[in-house]
Amino acid sequence: MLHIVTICGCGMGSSVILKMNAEKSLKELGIQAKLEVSDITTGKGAARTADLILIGSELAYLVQDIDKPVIQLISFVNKQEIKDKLKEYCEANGII
Amino acid sequence: MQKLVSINDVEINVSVTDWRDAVIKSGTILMNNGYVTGEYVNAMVQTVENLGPYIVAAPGVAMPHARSTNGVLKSGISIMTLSNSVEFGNKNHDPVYLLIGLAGINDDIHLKIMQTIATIFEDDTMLKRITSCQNKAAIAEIFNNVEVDE
Repeated sequence: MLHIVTICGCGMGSSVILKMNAEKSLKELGIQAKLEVSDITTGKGAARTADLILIGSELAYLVQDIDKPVIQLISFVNKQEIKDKLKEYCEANGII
Repeated sequence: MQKLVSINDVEINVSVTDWRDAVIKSGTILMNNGYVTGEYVNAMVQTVENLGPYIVAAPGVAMPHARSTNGVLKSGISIMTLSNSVEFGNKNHDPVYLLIGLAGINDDIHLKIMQTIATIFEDDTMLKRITSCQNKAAIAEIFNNVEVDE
């Protein structure tokens, strides 16, 4: 199962909204996934075991040293952007 | 069930000098309503200083917050519209005219608050109603009447 970690600065604001919107999008796309919320401190550890990282573009520089695929969101509250980018990732990686 | 947002959580047409002043005023509402300590308000400013203007979540809207360990006493929000917009330095979403201050611990209230905010962000009409509304009780009602998908 696809394992996704959503990351933000404190682990209680944008990453929570990102997770909710990603969950809805994945359900609509028919993809099963495990999602986890993390702040930037613990996020690096969580990211090592994940398949994919979701993060707002303003914070993306914080995960550039992690060797995992990263989806950057210009707006983490824009469900359509999240859905489009998840779909693109899943198609490119043979998940759908 | 207790309402998510009360009239005391809302301030309208607040005048601010810059983003820092805006974040402090947003945090002061949280503090005055017993959601956070004064330390948390400082941490809200530090979050932006350390990590940049990522808290500007959507065009015109910032969500200042810090970590729950920085002094959250209970989960809650503050909603503040500005009389003058301010720049946070977020190239995609400046200028900011609405601040939704967050205080969250890992509980059902925080989850419900975040579901409500996510739903409001999906609806530009609702965001416009909030920013143009001149009645604090009406703004609280908009938040309280949001139906979230479980």
